Amino acid sequence: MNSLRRAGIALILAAVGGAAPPLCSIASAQNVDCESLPQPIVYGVGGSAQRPLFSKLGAKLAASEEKLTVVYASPGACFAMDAFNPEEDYKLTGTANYTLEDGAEKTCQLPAAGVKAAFGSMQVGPTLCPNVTKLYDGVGDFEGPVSTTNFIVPVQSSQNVISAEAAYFVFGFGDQGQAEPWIDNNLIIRRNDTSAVQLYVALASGVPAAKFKGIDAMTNANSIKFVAEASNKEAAIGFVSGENADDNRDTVRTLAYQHKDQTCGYWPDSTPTKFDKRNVRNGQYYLWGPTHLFAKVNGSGEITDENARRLIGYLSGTVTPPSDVNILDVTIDNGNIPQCAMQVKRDGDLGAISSFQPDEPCGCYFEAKATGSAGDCTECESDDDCESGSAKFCRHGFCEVK
Amino acid sequence: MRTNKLKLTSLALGLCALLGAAACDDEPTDSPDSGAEGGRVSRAGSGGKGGAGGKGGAGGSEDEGGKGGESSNEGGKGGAGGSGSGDDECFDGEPKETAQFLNRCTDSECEAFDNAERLPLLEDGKLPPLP
Repeated sequence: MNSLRRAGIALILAAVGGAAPPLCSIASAQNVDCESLPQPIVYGVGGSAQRPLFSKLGAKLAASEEKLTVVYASPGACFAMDAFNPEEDYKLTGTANYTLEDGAEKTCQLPAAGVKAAFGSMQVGPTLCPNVTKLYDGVGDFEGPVSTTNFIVPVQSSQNVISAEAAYFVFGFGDQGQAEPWIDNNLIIRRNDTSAVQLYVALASGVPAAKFKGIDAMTNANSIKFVAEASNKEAAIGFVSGENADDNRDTVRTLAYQHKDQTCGYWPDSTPTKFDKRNVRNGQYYLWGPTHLFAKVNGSGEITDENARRLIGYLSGTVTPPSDVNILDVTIDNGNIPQCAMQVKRDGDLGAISSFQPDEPCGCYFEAKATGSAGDCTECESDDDCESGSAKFCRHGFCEVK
Repeated sequence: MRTNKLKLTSLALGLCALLGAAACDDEPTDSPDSGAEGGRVSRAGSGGKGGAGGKGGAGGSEDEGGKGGESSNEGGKGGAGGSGSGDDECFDGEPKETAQFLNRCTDSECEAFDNAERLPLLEDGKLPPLP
Protein backbone atom coordinates (compact mmCIF):
# COMPACT_ATOMS: atom_id res chain seq x y z
CA MET A 1 0.00 0.00 0.00
CA ASN A 2 1.28 3.44 -0.77
CA SER A 3 1.92 6.09 1.80
CA LEU A 4 -0.87 8.36 0.66
CA ARG A 5 -3.48 5.73 1.22
CA ARG A 6 -2.04 4.91 4.61
CA ALA A 7 -1.97 8.56 5.47
CA GLY A 8 -5.68 8.63 4.78
CA ILE A 9 -6.18 5.67 7.06
CA ALA A 10 -4.16 7.37 9.73
CA LEU A 11 -6.33 10.45 9.52
CA ILE A 12 -9.44 8.34 9.83
CA LEU A 13 -7.92 6.70 12.86
CA ALA A 14 -7.55 10.06 14.43
CA ALA A 15 -11.16 10.85 13.66
CA VAL A 16 -12.48 7.73 15.37
CA GLY A 17 -10.18 8.06 18.30
CA GLY A 18 -8.19 4.96 17.49
CA ALA A 19 -4.50 4.36 17.75
CA ALA A 20 -2.30 7.36 17.41
CA PRO A 21 -1.56 7.94 13.73
CA PRO A 22 2.04 8.55 12.79
CA LEU A 23 1.42 10.44 9.60
CA CYS A 24 -0.69 13.30 10.83
CA SER A 25 0.07 15.88 13.40
CA ILE A 26 -2.33 16.01 16.26
CA ALA A 27 -0.90 18.42 18.74
CA SER A 28 -1.90 17.98 22.31
CA ALA A 29 -0.86 20.24 25.10
CA GLN A 30 -1.03 17.28 27.46
CA ASN A 31 1.46 15.16 25.55
CA VAL A 32 5.11 15.32 26.46
CA ASP A 33 7.67 15.36 23.71
CA CYS A 34 8.76 11.82 22.98
CA GLU A 35 12.35 13.04 22.75
CA SER A 36 12.19 14.22 26.37
CA LEU A 37 11.54 10.71 27.67
CA PRO A 38 14.35 8.86 29.46
CA GLN A 39 17.16 7.80 27.15
CA PRO A 40 17.83 5.54 25.43
CA ILE A 41 14.66 5.50 23.37
CA VAL A 42 13.73 2.94 20.73
CA TYR A 43 11.03 3.93 18.25
CA GLY A 44 8.81 1.35 16.63
CA VAL A 45 5.76 1.13 14.39
CA GLY A 46 3.27 -1.54 13.38
CA GLY A 47 0.06 -3.29 14.34
CA SER A 48 -2.22 -2.37 17.19
CA ALA A 49 -2.21 -6.00 18.33
CA GLN A 50 1.33 -5.60 19.65
CA ARG A 51 0.70 -2.31 21.42
CA PRO A 52 -0.20 -3.96 24.78
CA LEU A 53 2.93 -6.11 24.58
CA PHE A 54 5.23 -3.13 24.03
CA SER A 55 3.43 -1.27 26.79
CA LYS A 56 3.94 -4.06 29.31
CA LEU A 57 7.50 -4.73 28.23
CA GLY A 58 8.22 -1.01 28.10
CA ALA A 59 7.16 -0.61 31.70
CA LYS A 60 9.51 -3.38 32.80
CA LEU A 61 12.43 -2.06 30.77
CA ALA A 62 11.87 1.49 32.02
CA ALA A 63 12.26 0.23 35.54
CA SER A 64 15.11 -2.15 34.86
CA GLU A 65 18.80 -1.89 35.55
CA GLU A 66 19.39 -1.61 31.80
CA LYS A 67 16.84 1.05 30.95
CA LEU A 68 15.17 1.35 27.58
CA THR A 69 12.17 3.50 26.69
CA VAL A 70 9.92 1.93 24.07
CA VAL A 71 7.90 4.39 21.97
CA TYR A 72 5.46 2.62 19.66
CA ALA A 73 3.07 3.95 17.02
CA SER A 74 0.35 1.50 15.97
CA PRO A 75 -1.48 2.66 12.86
CA GLY A 76 -1.59 -0.81 11.33
CA ALA A 77 0.50 -3.88 10.74
CA CYS A 78 1.84 -3.11 7.29
CA PHE A 79 3.25 0.22 8.40
CA ALA A 80 5.95 -2.00 9.89
CA MET A 81 7.00 -2.71 6.33
CA ASP A 82 6.61 0.87 5.10
CA ALA A 83 9.06 1.98 7.74
CA PHE A 84 11.80 0.10 5.90
CA ASN A 85 10.73 0.67 2.31
CA PRO A 86 13.86 1.96 0.59
CA GLU A 87 11.72 3.96 -1.83
CA GLU A 88 10.02 5.91 0.94
CA ASP A 89 11.58 8.21 3.49
CA TYR A 90 9.17 7.04 6.14
CA LYS A 91 9.25 8.89 9.43
CA LEU A 92 7.00 8.71 12.44
CA THR A 93 5.17 11.95 13.09
CA GLY A 94 2.19 12.90 15.18
CA THR A 95 1.85 10.90 18.38
CA ALA A 96 2.91 7.54 19.74
CA ASN A 97 2.55 5.55 22.94
CA TYR A 98 4.96 4.71 25.72
CA THR A 99 4.83 3.27 29.22
CA LEU A 100 7.23 3.99 32.06
CA GLU A 101 7.72 2.49 35.51
CA ASP A 102 4.21 3.26 36.74
CA GLY A 103 2.74 0.94 34.11
CA ALA A 104 0.31 3.53 32.76
CA GLU A 105 0.36 3.83 28.99
CA LYS A 106 0.67 7.43 27.82
CA THR A 107 0.87 9.37 24.59
CA CYS A 108 3.81 11.50 23.53
CA GLN A 109 4.37 14.01 20.74
CA LEU A 110 6.83 12.94 18.10
CA PRO A 111 9.29 15.48 16.65
CA ALA A 112 7.73 17.73 14.04
CA ALA A 113 10.39 16.71 11.56
CA GLY A 114 9.62 13.09 12.23
CA VAL A 115 11.78 10.29 13.50
CA LYS A 116 12.86 7.05 11.89
CA ALA A 117 11.47 3.83 13.32
CA ALA A 118 14.18 1.50 14.54
CA PHE A 119 11.89 -1.51 14.54
CA GLY A 120 8.63 -2.68 13.05
CA SER A 121 6.20 -5.23 14.40
CA MET A 122 3.29 -7.13 12.95
CA GLN A 123 1.57 -10.48 13.13
CA VAL A 124 2.11 -11.52 9.53
CA GLY A 125 5.05 -11.95 7.23
CA PRO A 126 6.01 -9.08 4.92
CA THR A 127 4.64 -10.42 1.64
CA LEU A 128 1.04 -10.49 2.86
CA CYS A 129 1.14 -6.70 2.88
CA PRO A 130 -0.12 -4.95 -0.25
CA ASN A 131 2.55 -4.37 -2.89
CA VAL A 132 5.29 -6.06 -0.88
CA THR A 133 6.77 -8.93 -2.88
CA LYS A 134 9.73 -9.70 -0.64
CA LEU A 135 11.47 -8.55 2.48
CA TYR A 136 13.39 -5.40 1.68
CA ASP A 137 17.13 -5.74 1.29
CA GLY A 138 19.04 -4.93 4.45
CA VAL A 139 16.08 -5.67 6.70
CA GLY A 140 15.89 -8.60 9.08
CA ASP A 141 12.71 -10.51 9.97
CA PHE A 142 12.87 -11.92 13.49
CA GLU A 143 10.23 -14.11 15.09
CA GLY A 144 8.83 -13.18 18.46
CA PRO A 145 6.09 -14.71 20.59
CA VAL A 146 3.10 -16.41 19.02
CA SER A 147 -0.31 -14.82 18.77
CA THR A 148 -3.67 -15.85 17.36
CA THR A 149 -6.44 -14.32 15.35
CA ASN A 150 -9.84 -14.90 16.95
CA PHE A 151 -13.34 -14.57 15.59
CA ILE A 152 -15.43 -12.84 18.23
CA VAL A 153 -19.13 -12.38 18.99
CA PRO A 154 -20.83 -10.59 21.88
CA VAL A 155 -20.98 -12.67 25.04
CA GLN A 156 -24.76 -12.63 24.66
CA SER A 157 -24.62 -14.43 21.30
CA SER A 158 -25.65 -18.08 21.13
CA GLN A 159 -23.03 -18.83 18.47
CA ASN A 160 -20.02 -20.98 19.36
CA VAL A 161 -18.28 -21.85 16.13
CA ILE A 162 -17.51 -20.62 12.63
CA SER A 163 -15.93 -22.45 9.70
CA ALA A 164 -13.59 -21.16 7.00
CA GLU A 165 -16.43 -21.59 4.54
CA ALA A 166 -18.80 -19.61 6.73
CA ALA A 167 -16.22 -16.84 7.05
CA TYR A 168 -16.05 -16.79 3.24
CA PHE A 169 -19.76 -16.06 3.02
CA VAL A 170 -19.89 -13.67 5.98
CA PHE A 171 -16.98 -11.47 4.96
CA GLY A 172 -17.10 -12.07 1.22
CA PHE A 173 -20.84 -11.73 0.64
CA GLY A 174 -22.03 -9.80 3.68
CA ASP A 175 -25.81 -9.45 3.73
CA GLN A 176 -26.07 -11.62 0.60
CA GLY A 177 -24.22 -14.54 2.11
CA GLN A 178 -27.14 -16.22 3.86
CA ALA A 179 -24.74 -17.35 6.57
CA GLU A 180 -27.15 -16.89 9.44
CA PRO A 181 -27.05 -15.13 11.81
CA TRP A 182 -24.23 -12.98 10.40
CA ILE A 183 -26.07 -11.25 7.55
CA ASP A 184 -26.13 -7.58 8.59
CA ASN A 185 -23.36 -5.55 6.94
CA ASN A 186 -23.54 -3.00 9.73
CA LEU A 187 -22.78 -5.66 12.30
CA ILE A 188 -20.07 -7.47 10.37
CA ILE A 189 -16.97 -5.83 11.79
CA ARG A 190 -13.83 -5.99 9.72
CA ARG A 191 -10.51 -4.19 9.41
CA ASN A 192 -8.65 -3.23 6.23
CA ASP A 193 -5.99 -4.74 4.04
CA THR A 194 -3.13 -3.37 6.14
CA SER A 195 -4.38 -5.21 9.20
CA ALA A 196 -2.65 -8.43 10.19
CA VAL A 197 -5.81 -10.03 11.54
CA GLN A 198 -7.67 -9.26 8.32
CA LEU A 199 -4.77 -10.60 6.26
CA TYR A 200 -4.96 -13.83 8.26
CA VAL A 201 -8.72 -14.14 7.86
CA ALA A 202 -8.33 -13.41 4.16
CA LEU A 203 -5.73 -16.10 3.76
CA ALA A 204 -7.76 -18.64 5.72
CA SER A 205 -11.15 -17.93 4.14
CA GLY A 206 -10.15 -17.12 0.58
CA VAL A 207 -11.72 -13.65 0.60
CA PRO A 208 -9.22 -11.09 -0.77
CA ALA A 209 -8.19 -8.75 2.05
CA ALA A 210 -9.32 -5.68 0.12
CA LYS A 211 -12.81 -7.07 -0.55
CA PHE A 212 -14.22 -7.65 2.89
CA LYS A 213 -17.83 -6.66 3.53
CA GLY A 214 -18.81 -4.89 6.72
CA ILE A 215 -17.63 -1.97 8.81
CA ASP A 216 -13.92 -1.13 9.15
CA ALA A 217 -13.24 -0.77 12.86
CA MET A 218 -9.67 0.49 12.22
CA THR A 219 -8.16 -1.05 15.36
CA ASN A 220 -8.39 -4.15 17.48
CA ALA A 221 -9.81 -2.09 20.32
CA ASN A 222 -12.55 -0.68 18.13
CA SER A 223 -13.43 -4.14 16.82
CA ILE A 224 -13.99 -5.26 20.38
CA LYS A 225 -16.10 -2.19 21.09
CA PHE A 226 -18.22 -2.43 17.94
CA VAL A 227 -18.94 -6.12 18.42
CA ALA A 228 -19.62 -5.84 22.13
CA GLU A 229 -21.94 -2.87 21.74
CA ALA A 230 -23.80 -4.14 18.67
CA SER A 231 -27.51 -3.45 18.63
CA ASN A 232 -28.24 -7.05 17.65
CA LYS A 233 -26.00 -9.32 19.68
CA GLU A 234 -26.78 -12.41 17.64
CA ALA A 235 -25.88 -10.82 14.32
CA ALA A 236 -22.59 -9.20 15.33
CA ILE A 237 -19.23 -10.73 14.48
CA GLY A 238 -15.65 -9.54 14.10
CA PHE A 239 -12.07 -10.68 14.49
CA VAL A 240 -9.18 -9.48 16.63
CA SER A 241 -5.85 -10.67 17.92
CA GLY A 242 -6.04 -13.27 20.66
CA GLU A 243 -4.59 -11.09 23.39
CA ASN A 244 -7.24 -8.46 22.71
CA ALA A 245 -9.99 -11.08 22.79
CA ASP A 246 -8.70 -12.54 26.04
CA ASP A 247 -8.50 -9.12 27.64
CA ASN A 248 -12.18 -8.57 26.91
CA ARG A 249 -13.82 -11.86 27.75
CA ASP A 250 -16.37 -10.01 29.81
CA THR A 251 -17.85 -8.46 26.66
CA VAL A 252 -16.86 -10.65 23.71
CA ARG A 253 -16.46 -14.37 23.24
CA THR A 254 -14.06 -16.20 20.95
CA LEU A 255 -15.66 -18.61 18.50
CA ALA A 256 -14.23 -22.02 17.84
CA TYR A 257 -12.76 -22.07 14.34
CA GLN A 258 -13.07 -24.99 11.95
CA HIS A 259 -10.67 -24.78 9.05
CA LYS A 260 -11.07 -26.49 5.70
CA ASP A 261 -10.58 -30.23 6.07
CA GLN A 262 -11.00 -29.93 9.81
CA THR A 263 -13.78 -32.08 11.21
CA CYS A 264 -14.46 -29.99 14.28
CA GLY A 265 -13.99 -26.39 15.36
CA TYR A 266 -11.51 -25.56 18.11
CA TRP A 267 -10.81 -22.64 20.40
CA PRO A 268 -7.25 -21.44 20.94
CA ASP A 269 -7.58 -22.85 24.45
CA SER A 270 -8.61 -26.39 25.32
CA THR A 271 -11.98 -25.05 26.45
CA PRO A 272 -13.70 -21.72 25.80
CA THR A 273 -13.01 -20.58 29.34
CA LYS A 274 -9.39 -21.61 29.86
CA PHE A 275 -6.23 -19.68 29.01
CA ASP A 276 -3.90 -22.60 28.32
CA LYS A 277 -3.55 -22.03 24.53
CA ARG A 278 -3.14 -25.76 24.16
CA ASN A 279 -4.74 -25.87 20.75
CA VAL A 280 -2.30 -23.29 19.47
CA ARG A 281 0.69 -24.90 21.07
CA ASN A 282 -0.14 -28.32 19.61
CA GLY A 283 -1.32 -27.10 16.21
CA GLN A 284 -5.02 -27.90 16.50
CA TYR A 285 -6.17 -24.28 16.21
CA TYR A 286 -5.41 -22.92 12.78
CA LEU A 287 -5.25 -19.12 13.03
CA TRP A 288 -1.88 -18.43 14.65
CA GLY A 289 1.60 -17.29 13.86
CA PRO A 290 4.67 -15.70 15.38
CA THR A 291 5.03 -11.98 15.78
CA HIS A 292 7.34 -10.61 13.11
CA LEU A 293 9.86 -8.02 14.24
CA PHE A 294 11.77 -6.04 11.65
CA ALA A 295 14.94 -3.96 11.83
CA LYS A 296 17.80 -2.95 9.63
CA VAL A 297 20.65 -5.46 9.59
CA ASN A 298 24.24 -5.51 8.42
CA GLY A 299 25.78 -8.00 6.03
CA SER A 300 26.01 -10.55 8.79
CA GLY A 301 22.34 -10.29 9.59
CA GLU A 302 22.95 -8.45 12.84
CA ILE A 303 20.65 -5.61 13.81
CA THR A 304 22.49 -2.35 13.39
CA ASP A 305 20.52 -0.20 15.83
CA GLU A 306 21.70 -1.11 19.30
CA ASN A 307 18.38 -0.41 21.02
CA ALA A 308 16.38 -2.32 18.42
CA ARG A 309 18.87 -5.14 18.77
CA ARG A 310 18.22 -5.27 22.49
CA LEU A 311 14.44 -5.11 22.24
CA ILE A 312 14.09 -7.64 19.43
CA GLY A 313 16.73 -9.83 21.01
CA TYR A 314 14.81 -9.98 24.27
CA LEU A 315 11.63 -11.03 22.46
CA SER A 316 13.26 -13.50 20.10
CA GLY A 317 15.47 -15.00 22.78
CA THR A 318 18.79 -14.06 21.22
CA VAL A 319 19.75 -11.41 23.78
CA THR A 320 19.74 -12.03 27.50
CA PRO A 321 17.31 -9.57 29.10
CA PRO A 322 18.18 -7.56 32.21
CA SER A 323 18.11 -9.76 35.28
CA ASP A 324 15.15 -7.84 36.65
CA VAL A 325 13.00 -8.32 33.55
CA ASN A 326 11.27 -11.66 33.06
CA ILE A 327 10.45 -11.78 29.38
CA LEU A 328 8.51 -15.02 29.73
CA ASP A 329 6.23 -13.49 32.34
CA VAL A 330 5.66 -10.34 30.31
CA THR A 331 4.84 -12.38 27.21
CA ILE A 332 2.52 -14.78 28.99
CA ASP A 333 0.81 -12.04 30.98
CA ASN A 334 0.06 -10.30 27.72
CA GLY A 335 -1.69 -13.36 26.32
CA ASN A 336 1.05 -14.37 23.91
CA ILE A 337 2.81 -17.69 23.72
CA PRO A 338 6.60 -17.75 23.97
CA GLN A 339 8.25 -19.93 21.35
CA CYS A 340 9.60 -22.19 24.08
CA ALA A 341 6.03 -23.20 24.98
CA MET A 342 5.22 -24.29 21.42
CA GLN A 343 5.13 -27.90 20.29
CA VAL A 344 4.65 -27.00 16.64
CA LYS A 345 5.96 -24.53 14.12
CA ARG A 346 4.72 -23.53 10.72
CA ASP A 347 6.22 -22.67 7.38
CA GLY A 348 5.22 -19.10 6.57
CA ASP A 349 1.92 -17.33 7.11
CA LEU A 350 -0.66 -19.96 8.03
CA GLY A 351 1.67 -22.43 6.34
CA ALA A 352 2.27 -26.10 6.91
CA ILE A 353 2.38 -27.19 10.54
CA SER A 354 5.08 -29.51 11.81
CA SER A 355 6.39 -30.73 15.14
CA PHE A 356 8.75 -28.50 17.04
CA GLN A 357 10.81 -29.03 20.16
CA PRO A 358 12.36 -25.90 21.64
CA ASP A 359 15.92 -26.07 22.90
CA GLU A 360 14.74 -25.27 26.40
CA PRO A 361 10.99 -25.96 26.61
CA CYS A 362 8.80 -23.90 28.90
CA GLY A 363 5.44 -25.55 28.33
CA CYS A 364 4.97 -26.42 31.99
CA TYR A 365 5.96 -22.95 33.12
CA PHE A 366 3.59 -21.46 30.56
CA GLU A 367 0.65 -23.49 31.84
CA ALA A 368 1.47 -22.69 35.43
CA LYS A 369 1.71 -19.00 34.69
CA ALA A 370 -1.21 -18.75 32.29
CA THR A 371 -3.67 -20.97 34.12
CA GLY A 372 -2.41 -21.17 37.69
CA SER A 373 -1.88 -24.90 37.40
CA ALA A 374 0.91 -26.86 35.77
CA GLY A 375 -1.22 -29.99 35.61
CA ASP A 376 0.84 -33.15 35.63
CA CYS A 377 4.15 -31.32 35.41
CA THR A 378 6.74 -31.93 38.12
CA GLU A 379 8.26 -28.97 39.89
CA CYS A 380 12.04 -28.96 40.22
CA GLU A 381 15.04 -26.97 41.29
CA SER A 382 17.64 -28.91 39.32
CA ASP A 383 17.91 -31.81 36.89
CA ASP A 384 18.40 -34.09 39.89
CA ASP A 385 14.72 -33.61 40.67
CA CYS A 386 13.76 -34.91 37.22
CA GLU A 387 15.12 -38.42 37.23
CA SER A 388 11.87 -40.28 36.75
CA GLY A 389 9.96 -40.38 33.50
CA SER A 390 10.98 -38.84 30.21
CA ALA A 391 11.13 -35.24 31.45
CA LYS A 392 14.69 -35.20 32.76
CA PHE A 393 15.64 -31.56 32.49
CA CYS A 394 14.69 -28.85 34.91
CA ARG A 395 13.54 -25.83 32.88
CA HIS A 396 12.00 -22.77 34.43
CA GLY A 397 11.17 -24.71 37.58
CA PHE A 398 9.56 -27.72 35.92
CA CYS A 399 10.81 -31.01 34.51
CA GLU A 400 10.80 -30.98 30.71
CA VAL A 401 11.90 -33.52 28.12
CA LYS A 402 14.75 -31.44 26.77
CA MET B 1 -20.09 -28.40 21.57
CA ARG B 2 -18.25 -31.54 22.28
CA THR B 3 -14.92 -32.61 23.52
CA ASN B 4 -12.21 -34.30 21.64
CA LYS B 5 -11.08 -36.81 24.08
CA LEU B 6 -11.39 -40.14 25.55
CA LYS B 7 -11.09 -39.32 29.17
CA LEU B 8 -14.42 -37.59 29.14
CA THR B 9 -16.03 -40.95 28.90
CA SER B 10 -15.96 -41.22 32.64
CA LEU B 11 -17.54 -37.81 33.00
CA ALA B 12 -20.19 -38.74 30.54
CA LEU B 13 -20.86 -41.95 32.37
CA GLY B 14 -21.26 -40.03 35.57
CA LEU B 15 -23.67 -37.66 33.97
CA CYS B 16 -25.54 -40.56 32.46
CA ALA B 17 -26.14 -41.80 35.93
CA LEU B 18 -27.21 -38.39 37.15
CA LEU B 19 -29.52 -37.82 34.24
CA GLY B 20 -31.04 -41.21 34.26
CA ALA B 21 -29.23 -42.04 31.09
CA ALA B 22 -31.57 -39.82 29.15
CA ALA B 23 -28.75 -38.58 27.00
CA CYS B 24 -26.76 -41.75 26.87
CA ASP B 25 -28.73 -44.40 25.09
CA ASP B 26 -25.63 -45.71 23.44
CA GLU B 27 -23.51 -47.26 26.04
CA PRO B 28 -19.89 -46.24 25.84
CA THR B 29 -17.89 -49.31 25.16
CA ASP B 30 -14.51 -48.43 23.89
CA SER B 31 -11.22 -47.78 25.47
CA PRO B 32 -9.39 -44.62 24.56
CA ASP B 33 -7.47 -46.35 21.86
CA SER B 34 -10.22 -48.42 20.47
CA GLY B 35 -11.85 -47.49 17.27
CA ALA B 36 -8.61 -46.36 15.79
CA GLU B 37 -8.10 -47.46 12.27
CA GLY B 38 -5.44 -46.13 10.05
CA GLY B 39 -4.62 -43.56 12.67
CA ARG B 40 -8.11 -42.18 12.90
CA VAL B 41 -10.64 -42.47 15.66
CA SER B 42 -14.31 -41.92 15.19
CA ARG B 43 -15.51 -38.81 16.95
CA ALA B 44 -18.90 -39.33 18.44
CA GLY B 45 -21.76 -37.00 17.76
CA SER B 46 -21.29 -35.17 14.53
CA GLY B 47 -22.32 -31.79 13.38
CA GLY B 48 -22.65 -30.23 16.77
CA LYS B 49 -26.22 -31.36 16.96
CA GLY B 50 -25.72 -34.16 19.32
CA GLY B 51 -25.56 -33.97 23.01
CA ALA B 52 -28.25 -33.41 25.48
CA GLY B 53 -25.92 -32.24 28.09
CA GLY B 54 -24.82 -28.84 26.90
CA LYS B 55 -21.35 -27.88 27.94
CA GLY B 56 -21.03 -30.47 30.58
CA GLY B 57 -19.64 -33.05 28.29
CA ALA B 58 -22.43 -35.53 28.61
CA GLY B 59 -23.78 -35.16 25.14
CA GLY B 60 -23.48 -37.77 22.58
CA SER B 61 -26.43 -39.38 21.00
CA GLU B 62 -27.00 -37.73 17.71
CA ASP B 63 -30.68 -38.24 18.14
CA GLU B 64 -30.93 -36.40 21.36
CA GLY B 65 -30.94 -32.96 19.85
CA GLY B 66 -29.83 -30.16 22.06
CA LYS B 67 -27.99 -27.68 19.94
CA GLY B 68 -24.51 -27.09 21.03
CA GLY B 69 -24.33 -30.01 23.36
CA GLU B 70 -20.97 -31.54 23.94
CA SER B 71 -19.89 -35.02 23.33
CA SER B 72 -16.64 -36.82 23.18
CA ASN B 73 -14.72 -37.78 20.12
CA GLU B 74 -13.22 -40.65 21.86
CA GLY B 75 -13.68 -44.26 21.51
CA GLY B 76 -14.71 -45.37 18.11
CA LYS B 77 -18.23 -46.55 18.64
CA GLY B 78 -19.54 -43.60 20.40
CA GLY B 79 -17.34 -42.83 23.33
CA ALA B 80 -19.43 -40.80 25.66
CA GLY B 81 -22.58 -41.49 23.78
CA GLY B 82 -23.41 -41.17 20.18
CA SER B 83 -22.74 -43.61 17.47
CA GLY B 84 -19.89 -42.00 15.60
CA SER B 85 -20.85 -41.74 12.01
CA GLY B 86 -17.34 -42.39 10.83
CA ASP B 87 -17.23 -39.24 8.74
CA ASP B 88 -16.25 -37.23 11.76
CA GLU B 89 -12.97 -38.53 13.02
CA CYS B 90 -9.87 -37.50 14.86
CA PHE B 91 -6.37 -38.57 14.02
CA ASP B 92 -4.96 -40.88 16.62
CA GLY B 93 -1.36 -41.18 15.53
CA GLU B 94 1.77 -39.07 15.51
CA PRO B 95 0.77 -36.16 13.28
CA LYS B 96 3.07 -35.27 10.43
CA GLU B 97 0.86 -33.31 8.08
CA THR B 98 -1.14 -30.17 8.77
CA ALA B 99 -4.49 -31.93 8.42
CA GLN B 100 -3.37 -34.48 10.98
CA PHE B 101 -2.42 -31.78 13.46
CA LEU B 102 -5.75 -30.07 12.92
CA ASN B 103 -7.69 -33.28 13.47
CA ARG B 104 -5.58 -35.00 16.08
CA CYS B 105 -7.27 -36.66 19.03
CA THR B 106 -6.85 -34.54 22.12
CA ASP B 107 -8.82 -33.78 25.24
CA SER B 108 -9.80 -30.36 23.96
CA GLU B 109 -13.42 -29.42 23.57
CA CYS B 110 -14.58 -28.81 20.06
CA GLU B 111 -17.75 -27.99 18.20
CA ALA B 112 -18.44 -28.74 14.58
CA PHE B 113 -19.86 -26.21 12.14
CA ASP B 114 -22.21 -27.95 9.74
CA ASN B 115 -21.43 -26.26 6.44
CA ALA B 116 -24.00 -28.23 4.47
CA GLU B 117 -26.81 -27.29 6.81
CA ARG B 118 -25.92 -23.70 7.56
CA LEU B 119 -24.53 -22.37 4.29
CA PRO B 120 -27.24 -22.51 1.62
CA LEU B 121 -25.03 -20.91 -1.01
CA LEU B 122 -22.54 -23.76 -0.93
CA GLU B 123 -22.77 -25.57 -4.24
CA ASP B 124 -22.13 -29.26 -3.71
CA GLY B 125 -19.69 -28.33 -1.00
CA LYS B 126 -17.89 -25.83 -3.20
CA LEU B 127 -17.62 -22.11 -2.71
CA PRO B 128 -19.22 -19.93 -5.38
CA PRO B 129 -17.31 -16.93 -6.76
CA LEU B 130 -17.48 -13.75 -4.73
CA PRO B 131 -20.09 -11.24 -5.90
